[in-house]
Amino acid sequence: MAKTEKDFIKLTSDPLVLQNIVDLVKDDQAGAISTFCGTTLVHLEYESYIPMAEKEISSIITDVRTKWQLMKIAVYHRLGIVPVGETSVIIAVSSVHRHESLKAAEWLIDTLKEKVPIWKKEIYNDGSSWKENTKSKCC
Amino acid sequence: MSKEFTILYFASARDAVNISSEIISFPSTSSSLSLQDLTNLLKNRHENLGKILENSMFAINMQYVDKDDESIMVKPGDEVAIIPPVSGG
Repeated sequence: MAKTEKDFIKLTSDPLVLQNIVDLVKDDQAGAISTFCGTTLVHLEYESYIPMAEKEISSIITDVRTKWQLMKIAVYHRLGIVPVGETSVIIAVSSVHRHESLKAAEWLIDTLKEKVPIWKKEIYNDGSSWKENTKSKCC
Repeated sequence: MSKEFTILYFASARDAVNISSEIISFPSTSSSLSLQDLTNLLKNRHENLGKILENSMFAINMQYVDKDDESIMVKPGDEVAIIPPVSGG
């Protein structure tokens, strides 16, 4: 879902391809593109309250743009089963100079993990268990 | 027309109640519920949900609400979500 042509938000059950997401944020004026990829260490299944998650991601993109001067931003998160070693989340940010996009990418993943209604559970051979992020907004 | 709201359950909350959503009618005497009233109503409907509610947020119409704000009311037509601690990323 694109909020504007500068912001790219997607929750998808398809595998995430870094180069495709980097291409979204390329800009003739951008000297820097910073990316974050989250990779699964165990077999995980993700779910989301999708319309609210899209709204929250859109809101944190609005917030990050007040903190640093940025060109384009992409936030892609995978849903459903994600096997070990695959990418569950990619954030890509472009800016004129590296400092802004590096700081923004870190702030975006930290804030996503804290606020956006997405959940994962670890899948074992004999069951599963829901995870909680340590700085999750609750409690 | 009866006065109702929708409640959505996610992750551990959905596992506890075994449904992902339900439509609930307001008690006949009222057309709004405080968050404390809502909590009590849900605990009565689903005995497994109490502990999970203590650790969860509420969102009303896709907006997080402050559980301690006594002025917040659930109204007819609202979509209320139980948001257990999130774990995206």
